[in-house]
This record gives sequence, structure tokens and C-alpha cells, in this order.
Amino acid sequence: MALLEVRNLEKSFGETKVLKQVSFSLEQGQVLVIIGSSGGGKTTLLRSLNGLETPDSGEILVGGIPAKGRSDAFGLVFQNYNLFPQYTALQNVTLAPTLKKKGTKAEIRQQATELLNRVGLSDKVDHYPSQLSGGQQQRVAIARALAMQPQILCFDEPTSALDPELTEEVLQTILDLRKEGRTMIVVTHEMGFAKSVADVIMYIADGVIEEMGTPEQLFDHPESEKTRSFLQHAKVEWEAM
Amino acid sequence: MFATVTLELLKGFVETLKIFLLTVGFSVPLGVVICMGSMHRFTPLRVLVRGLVWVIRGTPLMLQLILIFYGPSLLFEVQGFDRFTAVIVAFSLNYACYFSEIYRGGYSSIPVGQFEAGRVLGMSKTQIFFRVILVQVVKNVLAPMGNEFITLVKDTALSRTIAIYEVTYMGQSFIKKGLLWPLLFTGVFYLLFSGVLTVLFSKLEKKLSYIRS
Ligand SMILES: Nc1ncnc2c1ncn2[C@@H]1O[C@H](COP(=O)(O)OP(=O)(O)O)[C@@H](O)[C@H]1O
Ligand SMILES: [Mg+2]
Repeated sequence: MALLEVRNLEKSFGETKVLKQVSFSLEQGQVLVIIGSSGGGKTTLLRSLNGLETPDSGEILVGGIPAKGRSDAFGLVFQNYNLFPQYTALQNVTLAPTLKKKGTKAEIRQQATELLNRVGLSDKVDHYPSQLSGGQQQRVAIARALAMQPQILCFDEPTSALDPELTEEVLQTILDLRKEGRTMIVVTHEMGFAKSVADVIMYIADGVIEEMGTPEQLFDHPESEKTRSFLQHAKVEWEAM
Repeated sequence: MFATVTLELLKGFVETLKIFLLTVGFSVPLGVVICMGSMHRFTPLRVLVRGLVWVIRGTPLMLQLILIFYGPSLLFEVQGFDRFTAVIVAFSLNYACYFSEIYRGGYSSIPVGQFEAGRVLGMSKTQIFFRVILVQVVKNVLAPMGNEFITLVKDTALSRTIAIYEVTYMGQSFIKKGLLWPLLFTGVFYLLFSGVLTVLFSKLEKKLSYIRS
């Protein structure tokens, strides 16, 4: 059975239907990349999975159990990091596990140190967010999310607030997590990265899953006209960079 | 002569200091309560509290002071507050309303992402408030609170309206004896006091300067 099962998810803001009958599943260890034009509903989908939005209808099952109210189901890495500015990198990572009593103080600290080490920040543990670059802050945010040991880690355009020269270190971190077999959902506009990290690609337009498949299927043989046209535009922009 | 005047002014300054400290002591926490009321989900309460804040901020403190001192006995024929208590009540209420607006501003300017980051990590509302938000609010309100504290130092002089013998009153009392300089001398007390506060607040601000995203 799939690790994540989303069925008929619907969400409106006022009169606007932002998600329409969204259904998909994701296997354990797979990486799903979501692409689509701005305003298509990608963020709303991630926020619904993470409980930041309440869907109007539909089901979200993780391991066969509704994800609602469970903090172990999803983790989320935001576009603009949202680190807690009054805490050091290490404290940002240990705060939630400490409050949730995920272990002894020493265990939590040990785990946090390892996580920061893994995202390449072992020399920055005692730095405050204001003392870190955007790319470093985003890697702390990744470590912070991992510390709660979510079954599925979501990223909402994790590099779009970053200067171009800082995106690489964050993308590399996500690629490393893939190698560890993490189940992840990544919203991104970086098509090259999408291709290299994805097991499955989903193209969302106007709140509808327009097409879903392997990177080869979607990028090389898109079935829908909409997908083809989106990729064409994306390709032009991408090559222009 | 100089010693006599200084001693008299010091007596007045003790009153000034008492008014300042008591007002701060009451209005800082009362401001929190008023702030919570002004942001409450229950609309009638919110409207009521915001109305109160509007009235208090929109009318002179001196007027409020006179009203609180004379009002109860004249309007309701009940025993009112004694002079000093009336000052503390009027000042505390007045400053609490100003503080509540500063708190509200400091709270509202916290990015929504801070709350969401906490929620996504499974933290409770209380945990998010006390572990994530509060210090950031304190940092946000520090500078405007510093300004209000300095204004309060000078506003204490208003209490002479109902004959509290604070430092300005004492200075003025020498005019009857043909001396103007004691009144000018009171300025030194105010300047020193607000100087100390300025230094204190800038130290605090420096201490929290690492908090910025
Ligand atoms: N809180 C909200 N209130 C009202 N409309 C919203 C809100 N959040 C998103 N929307 C609308 O929902 C649509 C989808 O937005 P979003 O999920 O952010 O798309 P994407 O992430 O793909 O750019 C947009 O039209 C956006 O304006
Ligand atoms: Mg978005």
C-alpha cells in the first residue's frame, strides 16, 4: 500500500476553487516533484497536507491513517525559511523535539548536531539566523524539519527566495536526502533539478492535476497539450537563465 | 541656600519617582490585558475595549486626572480616591492604553510564518506564543516603550494639578520667595532621569539586536 494516499481533496478560498478533486498516491521512499504556473494551487496543496489549511473535503492518509493533527506525518520547509530568529541554529533544531519530549536533552542535542552536520553546517551550530546566509538558513530549516522525524518531508519552492549562487547548496542537500531514501514532495521551478530528483512529476494547473508520471514521460512525452505548452515556456525561461 | 533648595527638590523628586515606578508597575501588565481585549475574537468586547482606548488616548491626561480625583464624590457622592491614589489610577489607565496599542503593533508585525513554522513542528499555541513569539514582540516594542517611559517622566508633573508635591511643584513654590532658578533646576532632575532611561533602553535594544531574520 502507498505511504501517502490523497483522495478527492477540495479547497476553496471564498468563491475561488483552488484545489479540485485532487487525488494521488506516493510510495515510501519516492520523491514527488510538483510543477506548475504560479497560482495553480501548489502551495495550497502542500499547506493542506501539513494542516496549515483545512480542506473543504477529501482525505489525506499517511500509512493508512488520517494525517490530521499528527505531527509525525508531514514536515514542511518554507520558501522563506521561517527560522526562529532568537534561537541559534542548534536551538532551532532542538526546540520542537524538546517541547514534544522526543527524547532526553542529550539525545535531542546529539541528533540535532548530527542533522546540522549532515546539511553541512557543523561549524554554524551556535550562529543565529541573522548571522547565516539564505542558503545556510534554509539548510537549518531542513534540519529543523527532519528533527521531528516526519514520514514525508515537503518543500515549497525552497530556493526561490535565494540568490542564484546559493541555490546549489540547498538543492544538493535535497539530493542527499533522496539518496537516504526519504519520502519527499518538492514544489520547484528549477526544471533541471526536478528532472534529477524526481521519481514522479506532477503538473498542476488551475487546481487540477493535469498530468502525472515519471520525469521521462512528462518531460519527453507529455500527453496533455497544457503540459506541453507549460514545459515549452518553462524551457525558454530556463535556457534564458 | 543651594543645599536647602536641593533638599526640597529631592523631596519632590521622590514623589515623582514614586509616581513613575508605580505607574510603570501597573500599566505595563494592565496594557497586556487591554491589548488582549482589543484583539479579542468576541466582537462586543473588542469594540468596547477599543472604544475605551480611543477615549483615553484622545483626551488629555490632565482631564482624566481631574475627573478621577473629583468625579466620584461629585457625581456619585461616594468617597473618592485620595490624591496620590487618584494620580496612580489615572496615570496607570492612561499609559496602559498607550502600551496596549504598542503591544498590538508589536504583535501584529510578527510574520505569520513564525506561527506556521511552530504549527508545522507540532507545537501548541501556548508553546508557540511563549517560546517563539513573545521575545520577538518584546524586541519590537522596546523602542516605542522607551519613548513612552520618557514621556511618562515628564507627565508626572501633571500631578501637581491636584496638588501632589512632586518636583515641579516644589520648584515652583520658590517663586513666591522671589527665586526662579530652583524651577529651572528641576529640569536637571528630569534630564538625568530620562538620560538614565535612554541609556537603559539602548542597552536592552543592543542585547536583543541579534534577533532579526
Ligand atoms: N489565503 C488565501 N486566501 C485567498 N486566496 C488564496 C489564499 N491562498 C491562496 N489563494 C489563491 O489560491 C490560488 C492558488 O494559490 P497557491 O496555492 O499559492 O498557488 P501556487 O503555489 O501554485 O502559486 C491563487 O489564486 C491564490 O490567489
Ligand atoms: Mg506557491
